[in-house]
Amino acid sequence: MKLLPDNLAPMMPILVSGIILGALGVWQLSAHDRIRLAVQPETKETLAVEVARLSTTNGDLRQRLADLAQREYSVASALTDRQAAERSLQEQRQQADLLNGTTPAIGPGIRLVVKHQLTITQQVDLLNALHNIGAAAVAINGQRAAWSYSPWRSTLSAPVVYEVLGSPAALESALTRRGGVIDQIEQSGGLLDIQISQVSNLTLPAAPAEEVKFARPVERTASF
Amino acid sequence: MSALTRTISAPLLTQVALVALCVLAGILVSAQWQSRPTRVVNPVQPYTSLTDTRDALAEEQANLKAEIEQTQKNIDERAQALASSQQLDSQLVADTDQALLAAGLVAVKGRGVIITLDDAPRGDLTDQAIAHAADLRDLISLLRGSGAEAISINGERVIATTAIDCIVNTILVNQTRISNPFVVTAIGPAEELARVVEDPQILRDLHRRVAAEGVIYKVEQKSQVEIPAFRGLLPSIPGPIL
Repeated sequence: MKLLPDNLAPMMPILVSGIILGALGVWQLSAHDRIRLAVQPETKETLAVEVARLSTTNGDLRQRLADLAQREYSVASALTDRQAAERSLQEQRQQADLLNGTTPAIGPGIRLVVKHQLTITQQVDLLNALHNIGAAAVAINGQRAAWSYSPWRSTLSAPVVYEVLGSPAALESALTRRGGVIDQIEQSGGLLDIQISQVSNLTLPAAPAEEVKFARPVERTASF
Repeated sequence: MSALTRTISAPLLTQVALVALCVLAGILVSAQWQSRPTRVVNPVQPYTSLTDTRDALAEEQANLKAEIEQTQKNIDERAQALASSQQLDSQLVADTDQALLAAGLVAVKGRGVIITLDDAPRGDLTDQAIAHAADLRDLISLLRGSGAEAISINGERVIATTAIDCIVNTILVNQTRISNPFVVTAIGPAEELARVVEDPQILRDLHRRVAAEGVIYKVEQKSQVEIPAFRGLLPSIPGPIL
């Protein structure tokens, strides 16, 4: 009994060679993937970004520690100097006021006009990105965005004007770079109509002081 | 007639197949040849080196924050002595206390909620079954707009300028790496805070993934919680551009 028809028998060597070569090709491709996973290039890139960020942050924390050490020295020295004590108190007050948004904030920054209606989560992401880039203060449609401001509770309709205090060049560059927040928002919802302009002197209005009713200090403050 | 002779005299289709096979063989050989490294390289070494560096920097950051906290405590103690010895304006001191409290620069306690967010414990860890930085951003924003006066995530105090970021699968809060489970503590009107974060019509995507994918999401009201003071970098307004 013949295993193969006559017309197929001459092609057997070709067919077998084809099967072997196909198998080798698949093995070559899968070996590439196995090597990639072993080296984990994506994780190496992630680690590199993390290391860069940590390095920068730690440098800034060392500076903050040095500033606090200086303040500790000043407070110790101010035990005999009432004016120095009050000055130290005022400096802390100013820092707190900036965070609370309870005094006007003046300085360079950018004006960002978003003509496209953003969803709530897009507004959350945009605000987060602004702070991540280093915004010291933000006003939205002329109102200071303080602690209790939340896109979940606001009813903003396009166009929306964001005024952001910070380094104008750094803000604009980080917002508009490839893969930045504007790019990401566009990828999720189509092209945005956005206008960014650098401003040398912005004035953000103060927000009303917010009463603290539930939180109490763990220890007595009067931190200088 | 030998097998080779029969092959050579086969129809055109067979010859084309033979040529194609030879071309494929040539491609495979050349690909294999090119993938041979010209030097011996250890692909694992840079990865290990980066991991070690990252871990060392993270430890350094934790130490710096601990030092900042201790220095701040020292300043507080000296300041209290100063306030009483110099008889400073009590209103000035009280106003400053209140401003620091509202800004997140002192440790606080009070009624509130504890929210635990974590990846689904079972099944494939797909994108839908894990907790994202975006979930934390939405949650914190909602809490801030609903009356929360102080918030922390895994012990990191959230202030008005806090950013919650991610690099692939690493989440950063105040530039500090945090890992799951994510415990969000908030001081404020506990019933209202619990109501809004449990409302499936508000954080829709999160609640959908909790129901469909098993993402862990637990909300507890507490009569007393504690939240530490902010220990990170404070924002500053850049100088005027000349």
